[in-house]
Amino acid sequence: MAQRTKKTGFGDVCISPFLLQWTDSKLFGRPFFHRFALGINVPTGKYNKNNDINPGSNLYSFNSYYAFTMFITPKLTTSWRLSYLWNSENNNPNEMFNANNIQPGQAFHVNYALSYEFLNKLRVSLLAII
Amino acid sequence: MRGKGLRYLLLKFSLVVVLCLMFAFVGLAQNVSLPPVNLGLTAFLDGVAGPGVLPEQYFEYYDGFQFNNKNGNKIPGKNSLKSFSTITHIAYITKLKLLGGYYGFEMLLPIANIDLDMEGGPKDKKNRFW
Repeated sequence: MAQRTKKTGFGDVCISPFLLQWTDSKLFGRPFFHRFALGINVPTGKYNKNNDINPGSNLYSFNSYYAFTMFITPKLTTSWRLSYLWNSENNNPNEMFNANNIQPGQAFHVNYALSYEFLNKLRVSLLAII
Repeated sequence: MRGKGLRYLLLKFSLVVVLCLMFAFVGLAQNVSLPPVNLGLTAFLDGVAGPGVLPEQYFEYYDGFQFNNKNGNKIPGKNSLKSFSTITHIAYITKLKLLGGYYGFEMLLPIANIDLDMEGGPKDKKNRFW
């Protein structure tokens, strides 16, 4: 027996009320740009506990990151983003959890990439997310 | 890069975007899954930005065709999760300096269409559309 669920709607809005962007820095003598952003996810998205899947998550998240890019050469760059995620409780979970509330775990997640400008303003990139 | 100044940075900032997974996924293996999370589009010059305004709209298609259980083994049957989403991203970086960086703020608002097809879902449940 197959089950199919289709949903369309707003997801949760992600708000960064505070970010700091540094420009024209140097790291190991190379041009270096970095940014810190405080992020909050607010459960404004569509959510119904009876659905198997929802655009919204019905919980608040704290999701902040620090991102930087270093120009190894003018054409070759490496970019990294280090993020931390903390979630509040969802007080209205799907009945299959058999619980009054659920709380996803916290996560530390990292992206790292290497990009090369092979034509004027056209770059190719390798990206990994862990 | 140097000498072209902040106008150059503003152009580049159009690539400094974040990527949200737009769905809260309930039910497989009855794990509490992570909510939609801002993964960040780190591939291209993530750390590079400067004072200015960035409004942008981007689109994403996701097609998951194999579900694994908590041990990493494939769940039998035909399962799929498809989503088409679009995200409005508005960022504003002021010329106000704090700790050597420029203060700013940003917001992301996703809209998602999600389509979950599960084989052998919970037998005591029915799909409820809207």
